[in-house]
Amino acid sequence: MVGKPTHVTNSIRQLRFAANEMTQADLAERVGVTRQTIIAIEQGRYSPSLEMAFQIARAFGVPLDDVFQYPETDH
Amino acid sequence: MTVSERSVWVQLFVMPLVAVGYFSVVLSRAADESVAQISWVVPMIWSIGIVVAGIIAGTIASAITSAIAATARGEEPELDEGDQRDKEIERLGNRKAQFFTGIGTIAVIVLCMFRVDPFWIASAMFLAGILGGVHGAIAKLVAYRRGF
Repeated sequence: MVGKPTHVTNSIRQLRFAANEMTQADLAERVGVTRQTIIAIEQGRYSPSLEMAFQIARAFGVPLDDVFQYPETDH
Repeated sequence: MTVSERSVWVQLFVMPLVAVGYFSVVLSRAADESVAQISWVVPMIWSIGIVVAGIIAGTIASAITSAIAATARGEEPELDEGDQRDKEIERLGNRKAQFFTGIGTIAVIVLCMFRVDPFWIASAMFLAGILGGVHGAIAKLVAYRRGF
């Protein structure tokens, strides 16, 4: 079993549903990336750049910490 | 799937096919005559041309086919060229491909040292390019599918 390539977790899925069930395509358009990139981030297959992370947080109108989390025990 | 990812799939399909075609032609000729006599330049030019044209045509054809299929399913066609993630994956694949380019370069230098026939030098470079392209394409697809 191959582990996830990133330890960063995120709450994008929950935030999308809380934001009027925003679709992945809608979020991608707001952030200016492809839908595939949003899917990859949501599934933990891609760590976005700091800039993209801020753009995602801004799209939901929440602080960065509410979108992305990094576990204390993992290195 | 973005246009960039489709292009990688096409590359992975076209490059080995063309390499098999090229080596089938020239090695079958090598069975009948000495390598110094083999006419390998024309097959080489054709092979390089087919790789370039094949990847371009294949990418366009796959974009059209997938757009038609998406429309038939009532979905929005995905014709995005790519974004930052695609660029990062492109760089990652190219870095992997450089390994074979390096091996090929060393192989060519060694072959030149021994003054072998240009056929072997050109074929070694061609093979290194194909292996690098295939290796890079596999690395990109792994990155697309499993992450990186």
